[in-house]
Amino acid sequence: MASLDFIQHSGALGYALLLGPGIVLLLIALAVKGAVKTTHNFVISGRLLGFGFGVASLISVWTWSMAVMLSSAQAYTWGTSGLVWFIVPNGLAVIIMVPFGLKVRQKMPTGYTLAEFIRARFQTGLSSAATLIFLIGALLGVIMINLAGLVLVMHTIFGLTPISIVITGIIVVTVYSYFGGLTTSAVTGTLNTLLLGVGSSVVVLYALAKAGGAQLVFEQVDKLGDQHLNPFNPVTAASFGLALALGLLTNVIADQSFWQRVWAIRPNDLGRSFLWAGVWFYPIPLALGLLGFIGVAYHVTPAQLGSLGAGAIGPHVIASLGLPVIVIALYTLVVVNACFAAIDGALSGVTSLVAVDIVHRYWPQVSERRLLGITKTSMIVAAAIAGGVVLTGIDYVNLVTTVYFYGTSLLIPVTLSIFWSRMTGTGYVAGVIAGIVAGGPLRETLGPTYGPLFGIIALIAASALVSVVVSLRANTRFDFDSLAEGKAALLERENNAATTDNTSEPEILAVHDALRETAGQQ
Amino acid sequence: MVIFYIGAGIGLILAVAYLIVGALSFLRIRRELLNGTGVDSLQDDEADSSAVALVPGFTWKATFAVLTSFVALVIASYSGVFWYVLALSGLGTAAAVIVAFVLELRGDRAPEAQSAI
Repeated sequence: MASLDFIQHSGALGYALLLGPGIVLLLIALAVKGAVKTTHNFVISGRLLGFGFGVASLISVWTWSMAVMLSSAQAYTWGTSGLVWFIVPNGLAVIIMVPFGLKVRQKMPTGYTLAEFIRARFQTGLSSAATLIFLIGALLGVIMINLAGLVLVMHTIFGLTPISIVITGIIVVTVYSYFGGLTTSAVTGTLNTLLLGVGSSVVVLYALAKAGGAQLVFEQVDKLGDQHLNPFNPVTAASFGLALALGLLTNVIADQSFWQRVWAIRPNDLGRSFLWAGVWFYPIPLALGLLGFIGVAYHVTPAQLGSLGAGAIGPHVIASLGLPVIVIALYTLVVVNACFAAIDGALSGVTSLVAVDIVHRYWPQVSERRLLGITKTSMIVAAAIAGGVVLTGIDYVNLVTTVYFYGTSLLIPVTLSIFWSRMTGTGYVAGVIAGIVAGGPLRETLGPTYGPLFGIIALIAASALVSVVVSLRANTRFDFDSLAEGKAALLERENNAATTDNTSEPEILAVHDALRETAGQQ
Repeated sequence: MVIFYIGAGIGLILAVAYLIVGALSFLRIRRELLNGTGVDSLQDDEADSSAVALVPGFTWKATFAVLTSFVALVIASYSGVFWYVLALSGLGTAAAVIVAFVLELRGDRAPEAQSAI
């Protein structure tokens, strides 16, 4: 096969593809806005999300822009073994949420956040505070990683500068996310799933046809005689597969975007929504992974991909095959919308944490109107922090992987909190600390190849051991049924504040009012 | 290129159906938000934990899905033609969401029909 000649496309088209979806999503958000007048509805969509929005929005929240491109990258770097280790645990991670979600929703039907559950479960501030910190860190990480994905595609195909991409992207998402909260996130995510499903199929089918057909590409890859068509390559498992699989499971358990949907989806649709989302997530990376094989068949070298590395193989192939502009635009829209949906899901997750676990908890006297104003403003603050970190030029990808690594210390303590009545708050905190202490040094000292793998194994083992031992020593049992006695925190506020005004749109000034109130108390 | 045209045609039909059922579900949510008839309000500020539906056959369904994705990649390691199945599978995701919306809408109509009787 001849080599590919890279073609840089117009920057104006790039900006149009960034701003165009933003305008459409803003119109949708404005349609939602009129119906969302309370903080409860803003953060939990009235617990009205049905089966369709449940499945579609879960798929979109889980399909990050980086995932769209990493599936091609894994095929390009490791072949089918890379896809096995990248794709199989990815869908499994969402499916595994089914027993977690069902148990928590059954026992605490009026909840909003994981931190709230932990607080109700242990009645201690420290355990919920530790959970809250990790949850917020993970959500900021989602925003940063997805901005990185946006930079990858827009810089590779259209040559836009990273700064302009980050600033434009974060402003667009924040503006439309501001209106409507979780309902907006669910609707935009559902549109994104349509693009991910149909868009990825159409783009890949055209790319295969342009490359001479699937059989020809397969033969070219096979002719190389390397490990690209060996699904059982053991080097892949040792290099990243095992660590990735463990990390993915934690990503879901420690992601408030998922927990928010556990409480937002209608009870009878909850379990099957997560199951279907995990099952029907699989086709998306399976299809997009094929772009990586086209890159292999055309002998694209890592040097051709530049500093962005193997992650750029998908955009590189799309820009180099001589595809019609409409197909290139469709691929770009798939990535851009995956980025927007993941970020607005994360921003929505932040609002639930801020409303329930910070403002309602520490300043319960704040009026409903002000609470909604603060909740909405928290989106702007989170977007500014994440965008600011990315723009500082620090190695934020390393920062995010570090946050996720240490976030894994929540995996076993959270699991035990949900399924084991003898788990205690002390055991929870001790488990988290033990995991960090045991896994952190191994990760930092064993190098980039084995450090993450042995670090995460040690972290999980230590957190499990310490959580169990410390909890057993207390010899107490928790009555899970007591969790059902609590009322929905944000609804309780509404009922208490019968005098709440019915103004639909709070001003940002509300934040200043709240701060003044707080200052007055002090 | 024939497979592309087939895929694009099916994709177009799926996209139209997807947007229609999605819009219907959205209008239902919007109406209920405006009317304040969410789960919490229906249950007198207390969501009913017994309404949380279990997933019948969850274990075998989950196992089957995971194994299918694995087997698909093994087959793709030995057959180039099978790659078309992978490429077309994205359409399955859109079709599954349409089915989910239809089941949801049908489920919503059933109680309405009963109450009308």
